Amino acid sequence: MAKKEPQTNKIRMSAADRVFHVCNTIFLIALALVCILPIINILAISLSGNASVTAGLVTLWPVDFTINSYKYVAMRVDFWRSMGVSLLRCALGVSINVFMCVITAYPLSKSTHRFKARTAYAWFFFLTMLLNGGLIPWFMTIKSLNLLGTIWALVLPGAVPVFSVVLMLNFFRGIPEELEEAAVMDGAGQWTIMSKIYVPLSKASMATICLFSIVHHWNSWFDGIILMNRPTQYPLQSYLQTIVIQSSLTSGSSIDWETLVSVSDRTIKCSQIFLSIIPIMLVYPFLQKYFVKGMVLGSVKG
Amino acid sequence: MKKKRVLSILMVQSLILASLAGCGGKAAGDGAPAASTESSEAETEKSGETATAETDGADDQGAAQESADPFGKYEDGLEIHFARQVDENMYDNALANLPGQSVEENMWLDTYKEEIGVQVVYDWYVKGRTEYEQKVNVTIASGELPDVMEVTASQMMQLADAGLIWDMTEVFDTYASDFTKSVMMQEGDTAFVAAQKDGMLCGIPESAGASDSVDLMWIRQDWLENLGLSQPKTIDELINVIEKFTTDDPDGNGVDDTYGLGVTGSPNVLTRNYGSLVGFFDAFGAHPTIWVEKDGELVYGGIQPECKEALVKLQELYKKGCIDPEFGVMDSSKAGETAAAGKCGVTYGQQWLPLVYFHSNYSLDNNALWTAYEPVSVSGDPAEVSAEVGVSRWLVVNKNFEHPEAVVKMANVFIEKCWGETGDNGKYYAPPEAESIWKLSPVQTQMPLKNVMAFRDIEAAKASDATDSLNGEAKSIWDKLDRFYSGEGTSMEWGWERIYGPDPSSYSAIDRMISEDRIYINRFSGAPTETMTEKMSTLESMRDETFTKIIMGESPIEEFDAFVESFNKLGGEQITAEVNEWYATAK
Repeated sequence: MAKKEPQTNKIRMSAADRVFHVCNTIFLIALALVCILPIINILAISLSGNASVTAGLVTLWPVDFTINSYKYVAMRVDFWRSMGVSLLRCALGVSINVFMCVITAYPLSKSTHRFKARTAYAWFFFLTMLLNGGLIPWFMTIKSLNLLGTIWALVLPGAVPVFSVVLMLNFFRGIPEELEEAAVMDGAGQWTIMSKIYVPLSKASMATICLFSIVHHWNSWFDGIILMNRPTQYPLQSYLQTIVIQSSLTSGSSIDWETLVSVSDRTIKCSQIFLSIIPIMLVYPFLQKYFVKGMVLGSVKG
Repeated sequence: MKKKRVLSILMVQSLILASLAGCGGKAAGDGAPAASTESSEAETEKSGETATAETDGADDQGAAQESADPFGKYEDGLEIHFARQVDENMYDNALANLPGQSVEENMWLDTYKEEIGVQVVYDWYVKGRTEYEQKVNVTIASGELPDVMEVTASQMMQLADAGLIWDMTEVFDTYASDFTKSVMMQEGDTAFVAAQKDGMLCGIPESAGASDSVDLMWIRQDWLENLGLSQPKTIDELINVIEKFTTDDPDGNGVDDTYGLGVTGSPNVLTRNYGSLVGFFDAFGAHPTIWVEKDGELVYGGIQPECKEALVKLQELYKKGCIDPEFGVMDSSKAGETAAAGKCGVTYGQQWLPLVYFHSNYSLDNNALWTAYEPVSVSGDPAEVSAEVGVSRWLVVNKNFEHPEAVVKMANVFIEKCWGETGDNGKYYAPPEAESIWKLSPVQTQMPLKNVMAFRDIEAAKASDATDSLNGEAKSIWDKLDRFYSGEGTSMEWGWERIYGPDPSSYSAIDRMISEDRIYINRFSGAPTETMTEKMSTLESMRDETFTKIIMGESPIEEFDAFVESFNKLGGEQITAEVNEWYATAK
């Protein structure tokens, strides 16, 4: 935001403009704070003593500073195993997503007179964005395919991300047809044109769909719980779900209080939450610049 | 131009489709009936097999009934497929200290194999209670059930309606050992009655003690002493204590920063967690969460005039500033922060509170001394306290599984090993180094009174100076108390001492209530009736809303009468009739 300002600054700003800029800046800073404060709070809790946390004394700065919770988490096999599952899931999931996305978007980006059934195919994919079978049919399909309890159950069902396909398709359309014609003159086939010309020219939108895909795979937890047969197979977010969401006592039953006692340690929860944010925070800055460009290019040139 | 037109057509079409999708969504929302047709289809499909399975089963039973040995061994081995729930506690307090053992290979599974030849196989297991219930729902709908799994009351009734599970009546009668029966009926047969549907016993209850769930009255003993007050014996004395705690600076820090009474308002004021008010209502003979007997008929406790008296008192307390004005939006962990921070001196809640909120208070302030008392009453006689039926989960057996009696035998083994004469509580239930070892067993038929019995054992051992002879769970608990007394303990040991220590403590109070028969267990223990399933949750949230509003003074106390009227009008009357119909048959 700040970087682009100088260009507009050369034009003299009116008083109204200035007021707008001040208000805008304040508004955006407030928005940014709303996003960052909870994370700082979690970091502070993870570095505090448990008693102070239970007493609600910790806000943005640790009280009774200690790194015990991180020491404890470092020893937790479950946490690191789930981290491994999540990384594997991301690696597999993102490659599958991107590959499927490109080979689906490429033919669909051609005009109807060159690809007659294009409209039918486009609808075929588009419909899945509007309708879905629901939980039970989804589960039964995956069960019948014998995928339950394997990593493939987490990456194959969402292999074609239609929203990304639409994004990619619009981006491909923005590439001048002349390039393709020239390649055809040189004897290139469709596979070559796609992989040697279209894909290298689409780095921006590729980065965008990569990011979508990474975030999606990193954040999903529900499918992990329903589709995996052992807690050892849980990806990180499913694992976090089971420890962070406080099992509320169903009125009258006392059977769960022992669990409640053992998971009441919020410092450990928070340190695990914080550790789980780190990988995604590391990826974001590298893809961010493409992300913005990709979105804008995709939509404007469509 | 052309492109634009195409685009607009596309958009219109997508709108139409979207609205269609809306309808589709509704249809999908009716998942439950669809699911049940699914399972009944699955059933008809399998009915051929089932028929043969049944005859096989009958043969087996016929053969077995001659001996009907509760511990009879399957010489050729028998594989049982289970689905189960695991939790953090099982890893931290058992597996972490048992090298070489895992959920699927451990000492309990070996025991079942050796004793009765049963080989336990887990089809799947899930960590977390709600997650487990979700997965069970999906599994039921998709029709591929394991041989045995643990379910909730409504899941059990759904399975029974679809005819997918065994009627355990005969199997249990024949195969359960006398000791198993006596342990499981320790608090009466309500756990079994609750699993009955048209004379069919749908599942084996995995009981928790009803008496463990009562509300106790928790008071900061050190504050009482600071202000020179004595232990309150009546509700008026308690209210006096609450007011003094609010206004007279009980922590002596010179700042008016304390609340007398800790109350949790979310999801309601009757949570039985920290800040529950059930115990306060008990003082007035009101039991707002359960069904009580009046003149031979069952009536709903939440609409009885006794509640009104309690609400009036609470409204006064709120007006005087004795209750945090934000209690309405606080859940128990948020409300508990007030106690942990040493800003609150009286609250109601279950026996385990010292292990969560109070021990944080203690570690921040070593003078803090939370003490459990029995809830006081209006007259000064000890109050009758309300308790829910102590079971919320049952083991059900798949109709296609040929040996339903194997589960009963496993229950026999579990109970015998943990509490029987030939068993060893210190090895199978709670050895000091792995206190949650019992959780490794897929069958967990608990002894409902085990906690209070551990307390009695400890007291008896202390009296005769024989604490070395304690065993099992009582020993693990005693070790913690001992560590506390010798000054080695942390705040957790302090918490255990508050629960199992000498009078006054959680279990000394519960023990007295049990022996003086002052625990009033929900008189309705049947399966939810038809109207109840449909309307009870709405009526309960109406109750919660009315109570909270009256306490906060937003509604006058007369609002209670309006609530009673609409409760009856909106289905309460119908439910009461159904409940009494059940009561007539159950008596």
